[in-house]
Amino acid sequence: MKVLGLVASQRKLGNTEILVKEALAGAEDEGAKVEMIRLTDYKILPCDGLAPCVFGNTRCNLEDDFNFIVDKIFETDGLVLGTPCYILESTAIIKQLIDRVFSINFRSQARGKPAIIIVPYATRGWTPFAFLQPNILLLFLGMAVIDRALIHAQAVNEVVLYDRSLARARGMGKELATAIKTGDASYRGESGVCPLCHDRVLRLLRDNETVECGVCGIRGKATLKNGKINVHFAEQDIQRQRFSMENIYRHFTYHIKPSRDYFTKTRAVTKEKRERYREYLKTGDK
Amino acid sequence: MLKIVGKLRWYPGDASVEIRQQDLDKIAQDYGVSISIDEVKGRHFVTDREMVYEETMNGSLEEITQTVVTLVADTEHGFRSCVRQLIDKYKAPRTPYSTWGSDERAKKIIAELTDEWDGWV
Ligand SMILES: Cc1cc2nc3c(=O)[nH]c(=O)nc-3n(C[C@H](O)[C@H](O)[C@H](O)COP(=O)(O)O)c2cc1C
Repeated sequence: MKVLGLVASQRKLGNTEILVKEALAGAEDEGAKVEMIRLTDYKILPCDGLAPCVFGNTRCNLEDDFNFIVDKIFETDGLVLGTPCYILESTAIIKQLIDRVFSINFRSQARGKPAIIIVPYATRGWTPFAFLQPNILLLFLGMAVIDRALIHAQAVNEVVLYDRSLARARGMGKELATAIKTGDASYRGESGVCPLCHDRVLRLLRDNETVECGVCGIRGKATLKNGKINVHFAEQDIQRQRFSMENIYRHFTYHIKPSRDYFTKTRAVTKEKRERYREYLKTGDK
Repeated sequence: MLKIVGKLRWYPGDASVEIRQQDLDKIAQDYGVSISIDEVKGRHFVTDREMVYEETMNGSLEEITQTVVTLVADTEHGFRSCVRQLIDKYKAPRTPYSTWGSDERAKKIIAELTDEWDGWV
């Protein structure tokens, strides 16, 4: 049983690293072989948008460490993802990874494997989107997020002062190992509003009637009962969630790949019309 | 007056409810337009680890699995009303090439209406 920890903070021995290490130690207590990667020690380039991966059904062809990290994720049985909260959400390296997992298309080998998310943060009330990007990354890969925690700590290594927080991370790591051993990757965390990602961030659509979990792409109705807002998602809507393997396959197959033919069909016109932009405000190649 | 001809392409899973000819007939009647439906079945399939997938990157966008709704109207008013109704019922088709095959006037009207309300935002 292998458990991998990913740390998405630049700070060495920072709160994220310490909490991820606690979780890994918890998994180790349960018999896991553990390993940790500090993502910022690796070269992960931005996606260049040329998409040979999609149009050729290949791996990402950028020359950096992304495929190495993906292989590590695919080899593991469970994942600990740690990212500090930076300006209300995750650090940029998480978004960088999200854009690059595009190259995996619907062929994730991590599908169904359990994961946990740990987010240290400093200021109460400055964390509204803390779990959105970690959820997007893990759900795109088809992983089952079994628990997640926001952990209050600010200065570098400060979290070592808080035994409760360390114990929480360790307990999550143990639970992750248990999920791997038992095959029960059900969610054990605090319940949220979305039945899939368990977050509380909802969008109110322009019709002012429909609410949506933007991450999972599922829609529901909000009603007011005794002064409390109740959000209901119908089972058939839950089934339509964005990150099912079928929907990821459909997205690449019907929304992305046919754009190549459209590009070809409209090429003569775009080629001519683009010219007026070529010299205007031209920037030098760096 | 020239007829307006629009095509809307929904891909598997995109329409909020199944697009059925009898429902389209009703909409056509309500707005005095003609609507037809073409269920296209894809032609290129590949097998990968015992699963069969449609491969859409090399073919033409007209040939992939999709539901194409063709709308022909004598008046802009009828065309607009009908497109609005279709979007309300099914949500707007999702991709920039979803109106491929429409005439230029239809493309402009559909773009304008879907920017106002597409059922997605
Ligand atoms: C650029 C920057 C932005 C931050 N933004 C937030 C924020 O929006 N909300 C918050 O609660 N903490 C914020 N923090 C604080 C960190 O989340 C907190 O210090 C965390 O413990 C850092 O973890 P680390 O030691 O692993 O880097 C920010 C820190 C930095 C450096």
